[in-house]
Amino acid sequence: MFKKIRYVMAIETAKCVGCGACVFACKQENDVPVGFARDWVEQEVHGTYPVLSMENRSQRCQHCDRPPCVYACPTGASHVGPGGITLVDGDLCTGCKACIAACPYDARYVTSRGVVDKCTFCAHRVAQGMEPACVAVCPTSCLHFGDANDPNGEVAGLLATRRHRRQKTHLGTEPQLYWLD
Amino acid sequence: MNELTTTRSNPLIDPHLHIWGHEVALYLFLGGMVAGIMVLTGLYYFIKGIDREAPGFIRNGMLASPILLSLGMLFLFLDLEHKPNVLRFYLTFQVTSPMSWGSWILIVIYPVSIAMIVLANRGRWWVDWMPALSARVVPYWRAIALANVFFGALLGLYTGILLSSFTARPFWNNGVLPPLFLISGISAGAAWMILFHDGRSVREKDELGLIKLGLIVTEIMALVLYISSMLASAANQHEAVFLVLGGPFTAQFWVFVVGIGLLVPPLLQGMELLHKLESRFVMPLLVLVGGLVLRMLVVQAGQMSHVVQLTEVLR
Repeated sequence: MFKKIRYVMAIETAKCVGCGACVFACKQENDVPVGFARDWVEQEVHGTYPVLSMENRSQRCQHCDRPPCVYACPTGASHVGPGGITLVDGDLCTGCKACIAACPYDARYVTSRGVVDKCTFCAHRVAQGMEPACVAVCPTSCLHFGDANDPNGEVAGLLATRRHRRQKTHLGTEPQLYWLD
Repeated sequence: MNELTTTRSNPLIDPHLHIWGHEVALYLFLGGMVAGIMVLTGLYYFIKGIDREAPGFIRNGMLASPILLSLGMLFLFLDLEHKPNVLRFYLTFQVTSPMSWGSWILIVIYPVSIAMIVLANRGRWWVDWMPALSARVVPYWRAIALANVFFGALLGLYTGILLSSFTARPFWNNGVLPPLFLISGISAGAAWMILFHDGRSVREKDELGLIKLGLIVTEIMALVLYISSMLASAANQHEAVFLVLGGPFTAQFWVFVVGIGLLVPPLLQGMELLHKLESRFVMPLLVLVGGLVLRMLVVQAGQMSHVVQLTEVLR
């Protein structure tokens, strides 16, 4: 049976060293201004010395299946694009910031142009068959991007075989960023 | 111990990442007050009819409502980051977006409230100057009065629904917020009208004062429900409510919203109803200050409240 393309990102937290290459690649690819970020790295240290554990998490828009930002947008500027990627149409955006308030992952910001911007999974690259810039540049290959509905794809395989987590799923947003343990 | 380091800028520290400022709070306050004026004026005419001339404070109070609403919409416009696209609000209707509903409600408010103004100000030269308009409006007085109650209530409720629909902000995501905003708005509307009292129509003013007393008591109950429902709720809301119970907004909340806005006015109102005190400006102004600070506080605190990270609980 034919299934719609559903782009997701799976991140191997154990392989991430928190180098921030994904952040710089994104900034360069998408011309993200200083003080803003479409993706970022969180480092969580848990425990008391010498019993410590650490996890690095590359963060970005979760491209939710039930996106609260899209539901909150009064003009239709925030919309779901091909492959389930959540996008913003700058020509429709009024900069009312309802989507920023609605996003539980704080993934959005207002550009100097006055319109809202965020991670697009590098939709312009994906349309040409390339990977998002952050995935392409990751030196430890801990970021994996692809169609979760393609049973022969790498990401579908990882999600089928590896234990994984998603963030704030109790809000019912169905986020499409998976952290592999 | 959990220590979180992030490479991103923080919306709580970096001003360029903040969401809504005082403009939105002022709009919510003015919108709520206009809603209150419309509900009260509509109810007055629906109950008492149009045969008798309404007291001056009702007629003058109503007169200001489109101006107050326009002022509120100006603040909303000032908050927009991409102002050239403002008309995009009116080139679409997004059924899932409370803000889209609100934009269209605001458009309906104008003709409905202006019809009420014409109805309430018959006998004044500028209404009599347009007899055709007056003749068209008067036969539908009952429908106009009801429409003012309905759309006024819708306006007052929607401002709360707009905020309560954001599941990402636990301080807003509460079903009591819309009725709380509606009651607070009607209370502010009554306070606004009392400001226009000219010393005559004492009976009507006392009636409005009694309604106002009831509104304040209802608002206190709604506020208690709002706070207690969050206290009794799961981790998200439970953490959020401490923004006003020991957190950074505690003083504002207890001094301005509860003290000045809700506890002092009923005392003054009670003494006034017993004709032991004449506080023409003080009591209404206190109510208005309380209503404004409530909006400012809710807008700011809501943006500071965050959903608890469930993954941390699992680890």
